[in-house]
Amino acid sequence: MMTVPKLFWQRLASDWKYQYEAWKTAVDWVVALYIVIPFLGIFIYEYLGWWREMPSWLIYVNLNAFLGIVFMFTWLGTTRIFLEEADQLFLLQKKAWIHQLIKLCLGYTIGYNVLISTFLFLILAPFLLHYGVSPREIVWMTLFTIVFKTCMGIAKQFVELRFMGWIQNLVRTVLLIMAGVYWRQSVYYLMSHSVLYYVSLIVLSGVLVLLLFRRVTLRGTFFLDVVREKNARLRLVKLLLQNLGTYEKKPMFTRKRPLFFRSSNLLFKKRNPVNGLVEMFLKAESRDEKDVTAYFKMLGTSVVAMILFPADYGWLLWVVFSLMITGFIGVLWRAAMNNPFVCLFPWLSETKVPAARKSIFLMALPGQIFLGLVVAIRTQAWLGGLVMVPIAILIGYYSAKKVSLKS
Amino acid sequence: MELLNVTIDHAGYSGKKADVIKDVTLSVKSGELVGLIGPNGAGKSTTIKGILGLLPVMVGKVEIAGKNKNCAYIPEQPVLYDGLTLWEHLELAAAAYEMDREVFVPKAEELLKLFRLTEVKHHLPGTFSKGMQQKVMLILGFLLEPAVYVVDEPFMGLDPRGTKDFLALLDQARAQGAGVLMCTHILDTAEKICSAFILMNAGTVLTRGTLLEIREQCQLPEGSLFDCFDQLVESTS
Repeated sequence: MMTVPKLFWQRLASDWKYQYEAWKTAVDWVVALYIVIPFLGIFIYEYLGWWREMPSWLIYVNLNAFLGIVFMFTWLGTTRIFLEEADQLFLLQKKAWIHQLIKLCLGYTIGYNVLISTFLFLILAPFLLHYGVSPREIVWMTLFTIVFKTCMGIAKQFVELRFMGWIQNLVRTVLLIMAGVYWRQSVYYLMSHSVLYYVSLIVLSGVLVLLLFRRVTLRGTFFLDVVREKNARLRLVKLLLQNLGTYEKKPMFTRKRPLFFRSSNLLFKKRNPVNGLVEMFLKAESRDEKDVTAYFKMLGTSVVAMILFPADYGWLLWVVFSLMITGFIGVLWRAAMNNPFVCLFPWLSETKVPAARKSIFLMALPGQIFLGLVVAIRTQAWLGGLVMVPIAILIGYYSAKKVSLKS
Repeated sequence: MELLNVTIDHAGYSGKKADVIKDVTLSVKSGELVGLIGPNGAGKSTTIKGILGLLPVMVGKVEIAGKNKNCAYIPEQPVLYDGLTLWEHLELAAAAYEMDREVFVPKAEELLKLFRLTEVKHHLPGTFSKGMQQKVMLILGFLLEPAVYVVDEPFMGLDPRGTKDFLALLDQARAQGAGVLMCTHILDTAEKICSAFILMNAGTVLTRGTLLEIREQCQLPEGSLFDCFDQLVESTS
């Protein structure tokens, strides 16, 4: 006979199986053998090394950076409530079952938070010890993180359930700021051996108990819970599909008319299949907020790396980052070509290859020239700066040619 | 003149589903509107995928004749690119088929006017209603003036005026010599507009012919397409 615990374990097992299958699809034995296992091996070797000697890059990083990482960790993630759309047929009528299922889900979330928080602090322990945080303080900090993360998960859910649109974003931002202040102050009390830390932990635990109780008894949240659960279940798959360049249907645009090329202006006078594809790619990408942000983030990270590394490495880094930008645009190109609408038409490889080359080259070029100018300023090779533009064009052209052949 | 000639020995997906459809032969003549009908899971969509060359396993052949030797597929679910405006969708289709600009622009404008979408031609279709998106798919299909139209459940989401305009355009295309293969569940509409029918069940063709021929076969001289269809499926299950 079906019971609530049985149902909970069934859904949990089904979720694990689903996530495992998703991983298995992306990480086949070739990827595991050549990428994942060597990477894990290097990481474990490096990690053991950190317990003996601190890495040299640590001089650029202070304790606040690690505490910042922990705070972001407490903010990210969600509280899983394993409800499904079909539950409205039967389960929704049985209030006691729903309550018990939510209780079990909350218990699972706490257990999960204990595990991943402990894992995070095990990774960070050598660095925290280096900055003078004692083992006892690390244990207290772990405990505080577990309670704090669980509170944040449920509090964020309340915000999603109670507020909509821009008000939701506003309330979330206020919550983030307040949480940040509370976190910073509590860690400060802990580090300064103040009794107020324990008061802060007790208050937070009290808030957690209240939030847990309220979450179990909250009414009218079924459909939003189902949507959130569906997103949480598909999160890994979405991430993998994006990285594999497979098309994923996303409701990207809410505006009626695009911001750029508002009158569907033509980019190329000469109309042929190659120019048609290039135009489609450049326009669609320039309107895709997510991809444009990723492009600028990539440029930003490259600039920061160029500034942090000694100037002698500047030119080498420029070549590496230029190639990375080309690779990134190549992934976007493959995603665009996998779009079901584009697939409706019979594109020949004589069209696809030159279109890929032209599209990748044109889209990567502004970033490559910008990075070239940054490296010229950094190395104060002003003459180099002048010749940067033609060199960027050449490197961009040849790297785009290489990537387009793979596309 | 036969525009579409399909002979499928078996077709389907890899593994155990390699023969979802078996022994399917069908043809569409110039000016003909053939209704492909059958219950859920009969193999209609798989047959369409086979015709379009989208199946991993396909033992058989598909021949398309006519002036352009191509076919336009109008899917049941609108398939659009979120980042392009309506006009840019048409531009991409025109580029793919290398349509002359002098032909493309007036034809596209005419179709937009007919489907009352001129006002929104520079809008992103992601914000359109399902019916408007379906109209975009119809415009794309009619823009290319293919030899054969393969239309999957065209009435889903279309308002009555949209349906009327769509049917008028189909008539016009047929009058110009095109052939249409239409997959639908709306049997009463199909009965009124189709010149011939192909009834599918369990992955194979049950029967084909005009309504009169099918009535004779079922011995239901006054029977509707629905009655004939029901009897044929009952007698084979």
